[in-house]
Amino acid sequence: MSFGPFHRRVGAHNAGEFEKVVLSNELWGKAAHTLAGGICVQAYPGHKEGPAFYSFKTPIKPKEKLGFPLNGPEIVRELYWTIELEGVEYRDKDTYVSIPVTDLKKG
Amino acid sequence: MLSLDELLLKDRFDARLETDLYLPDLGEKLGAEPVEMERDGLGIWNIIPVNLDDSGYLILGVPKEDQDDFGTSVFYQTAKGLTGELIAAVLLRLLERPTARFMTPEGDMVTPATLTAEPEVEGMAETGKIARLLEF
Repeated sequence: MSFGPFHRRVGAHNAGEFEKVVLSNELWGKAAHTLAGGICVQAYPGHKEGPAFYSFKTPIKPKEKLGFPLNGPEIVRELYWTIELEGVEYRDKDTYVSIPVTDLKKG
Repeated sequence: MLSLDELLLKDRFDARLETDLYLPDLGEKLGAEPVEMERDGLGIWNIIPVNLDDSGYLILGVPKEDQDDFGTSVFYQTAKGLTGELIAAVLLRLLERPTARFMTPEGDMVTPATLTAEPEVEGMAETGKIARLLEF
């Protein structure tokens, strides 16, 4: 079973991330510590078109954060994966957590 | 560009409130222009910090590319005595929009506290103080 697609945006702080993920089939994260209960990988739901985006799937079910559109009911706005989820592993002396990814696709 | 994730960690922000209030409307009422900060893998966010003096500060934000489609995320520090109910009351008062919705990111709806500056009402003095700081 796989979950997704989810997407991330590549910017100044994570330039070259897509190429690293393609080579390793792993996605690493360490940010958002305080609001996720620990270091985490984070992403948005769905696929998004555009040169700055890439999407992926993963066998690990993410946790969800909900948000409000300006009109309509609440929806899932962000996904995140922390170490207590089965399949999430530490990397680089516990500096990062990592999830396996498949179905990588540029936006 | 500054990292919002690192700022949240450095200043010990540990809670978040979601609302369907529009960030530019909040910025206009506060007389504040947003600044841009990046989140790990989540792109550039438009951010408005709101100083609450000794109650710390709030960070209002929304992904820049989605600003016209989504409401606002409010990051806050519980160690400063802030709660989602207090912040919801303050934002509701700020924009005078009684139909505004508030919830935690886990999906629990948040009912705004009753806004009063009367210190004899337990727990409400903080709300009044915040209201005065925001000058309304």
